[in-house]
Amino acid sequence: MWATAGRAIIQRGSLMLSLSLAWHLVWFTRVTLSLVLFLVIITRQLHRQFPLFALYSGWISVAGMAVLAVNYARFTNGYDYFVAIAVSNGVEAVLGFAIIYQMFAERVRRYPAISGMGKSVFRAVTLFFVILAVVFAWLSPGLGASHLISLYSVTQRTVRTLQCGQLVFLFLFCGYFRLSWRSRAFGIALGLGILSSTSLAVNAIHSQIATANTWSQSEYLAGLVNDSTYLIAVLVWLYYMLAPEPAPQPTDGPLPPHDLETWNRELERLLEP
Amino acid sequence: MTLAIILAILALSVPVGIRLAKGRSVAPRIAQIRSVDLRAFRNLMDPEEEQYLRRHLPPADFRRIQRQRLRAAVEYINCAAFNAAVLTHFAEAARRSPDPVTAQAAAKLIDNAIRLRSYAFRAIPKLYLAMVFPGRGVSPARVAESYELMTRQVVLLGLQYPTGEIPRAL
Repeated sequence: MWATAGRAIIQRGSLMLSLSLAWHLVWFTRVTLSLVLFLVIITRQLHRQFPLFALYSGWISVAGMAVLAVNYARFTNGYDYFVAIAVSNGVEAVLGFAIIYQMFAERVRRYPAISGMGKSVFRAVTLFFVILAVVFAWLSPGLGASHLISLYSVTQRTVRTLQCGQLVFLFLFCGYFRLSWRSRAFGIALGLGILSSTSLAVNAIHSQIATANTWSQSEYLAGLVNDSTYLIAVLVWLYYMLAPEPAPQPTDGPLPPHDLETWNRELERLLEP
Repeated sequence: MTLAIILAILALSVPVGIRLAKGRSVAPRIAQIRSVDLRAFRNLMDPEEEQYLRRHLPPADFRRIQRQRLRAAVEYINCAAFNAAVLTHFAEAARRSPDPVTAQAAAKLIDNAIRLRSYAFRAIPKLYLAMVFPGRGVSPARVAESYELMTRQVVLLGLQYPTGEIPRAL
């Protein structure tokens, strides 16, 4: 019996080691690619077009490197690491909200018919999700080794709930009114959507299965999934920033007469029963 | 666990939203525009017509007929909103025209198409509410007016935009 238990512990230990190794590999890759993303944005002068996203990518690369340094530095402890993560994610969340709002405002700005209404609805939707997130926080307070970690976990979930809600609204609103997306703006929103939705799902599931006082396999797994998703989001952003923006195609040239007639018939069909 | 499920659903709705935002706007064709009978729609929404039916039909029959009329009106509005969406796509291309007159006409068409979809979004729940309470008067007349204005601008755009994008779709 003891031998079986011993084997189980060793297997569990090696699994945790593998998860930890995979997580750190993904983490390194993600931070490196974030830096590449920032450099791409600067060299291609995309910061003029997307200043907030440029700031965001700069922050995630610098903060990512700083958190890595804190993780491996000998003179830092767990509390320092926690503070570094909290500051990094806090600023990232603020920038994330700013990007979502800016993207929405940019989309509706060109359409005066819905500009005012859209902004009011956006604010109402945000308020609704704030209330929803507060209710979730009240119903399910976070698990953690300390009050601070619990608070961080709940805050993180609240932020992701809000971002998911705002992004769902942004996509549905633009989809319903057929507002045109430039491909890079869509890529930025897509990356944020992937990041916030997976992070929220992982946080929600993790909060149900995690134990309060131990650093278990689920912690490594959650970390691995979160960083993998982050890596995917960075790859999506890189793809959209590197891909050429399709130029708008206002075609010109004379219209053949038969095409005009077809167009007119189509209009007649609209106007007459 | 319930909370986890709710949050997971919310998280999953992001990719669905993305799909709707991107997928539905993929290359509509002019041929997709459906015929919308504005006069029939106005008849369905006419309060005098409603009063006439109310006076001449037994209450149960009136409620049944009125529900059918409202259902038909919803269909009309859905069609008009769909047409507005298709026209928006083509007007977006026209808005980039170097000709300022064409670009202006296209911008106006987009404005009206979006307004129509906005009215439709608000009018349809109103009509469904009226189906539950058939005696309640309802008149989404602004939808009809907006649709008429939009189709007038389509004529203007069609005459002013003799370019390749629209005819190729035809």
